[in-house]
Amino acid sequence: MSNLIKIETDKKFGLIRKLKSVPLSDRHTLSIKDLKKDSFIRVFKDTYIVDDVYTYQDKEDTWTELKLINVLTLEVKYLEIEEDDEIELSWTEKEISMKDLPDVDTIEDMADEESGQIKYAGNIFYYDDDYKAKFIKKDKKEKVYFYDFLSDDKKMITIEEWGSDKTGYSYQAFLSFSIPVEAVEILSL
Amino acid sequence: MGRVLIITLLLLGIVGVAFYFLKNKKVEKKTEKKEMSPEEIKEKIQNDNLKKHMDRLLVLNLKVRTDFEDLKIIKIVEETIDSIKKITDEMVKLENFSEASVMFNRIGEKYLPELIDGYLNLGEAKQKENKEEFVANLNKLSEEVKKIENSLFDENEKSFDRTNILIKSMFEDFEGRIK
Repeated sequence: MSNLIKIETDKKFGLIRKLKSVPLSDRHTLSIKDLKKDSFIRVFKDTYIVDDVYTYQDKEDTWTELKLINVLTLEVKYLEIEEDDEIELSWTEKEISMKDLPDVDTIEDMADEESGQIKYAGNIFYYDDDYKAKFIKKDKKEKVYFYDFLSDDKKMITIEEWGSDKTGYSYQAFLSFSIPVEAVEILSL
Repeated sequence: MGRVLIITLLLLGIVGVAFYFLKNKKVEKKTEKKEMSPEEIKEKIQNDNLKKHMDRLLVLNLKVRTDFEDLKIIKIVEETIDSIKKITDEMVKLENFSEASVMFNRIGEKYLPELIDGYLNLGEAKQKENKEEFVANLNKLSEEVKKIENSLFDENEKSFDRTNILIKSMFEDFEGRIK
């Protein structure tokens, strides 16, 4: 077996064998709010292990982001959990290259005017919101600024601005969409 | 007029020839990139087949971890999977088992999954009735795989023949039972 195949296969078996699943009859008692590192969930027929948990905080809200690893493909996904009147989930489909989006100055102008649109993959995404937040990972805190653009079919492009005037800025963009709580099956906590 | 026509035709001819050579150069470059040695091709096919085989074992392991509560059953299945992995890896290295390895692969791809699916599809009540028989079948399959593993890693020079015989006999036994 080639070394790369062996390393990947061993990693996947290692992840799978961490799963000690709760009996099917008890799974409905598990809460999405209790998910933590090494919890297992199933979403869209794929099984994921929670690799890390991040917290975001702005003036009014706090929300959680789970970094997930697909145990069969090692693909990384993110699930955001926010509690308003009810639990709201956002599933990150993929990271987008900043080269496929308008330049940062244009995005900032749209945020100043609170209007504008982005064209991506044949869809139009309209300016929705922009806000700052604190990103909290274990003991580390970092400032981040978000620019949200929403399409008619409720997909979201979020552009994240990291850094400061001192250190310089870096950007990441993600495509996500809302999913119902029922789409997530918790296999173990 | 005649001269203009001749010059025009000459220029067109030169452009045509230049275009022809440029196109062929691109084709040559593409061909150069794609060519692999027979050894590389053989290795690629082996790795692709191995990956597919391992992927099936991964899916099976995940299924057992997700759908079974009994840790003893999970343990037997995972020990069997580990033996299958070890044997498959060794067979590929030794290159002595082309026919036998095709038969052996059916353990991970057909016999073990069908045994497990057959039990899970019974429903809760029937599973309780048939659990003992299921565990006995699982143990039997696990023992057969262990025999093959022991035979393959035996220092004795006759182990290749013995391994082939074991695999063929297991194949006939299970192929007859699971249809």
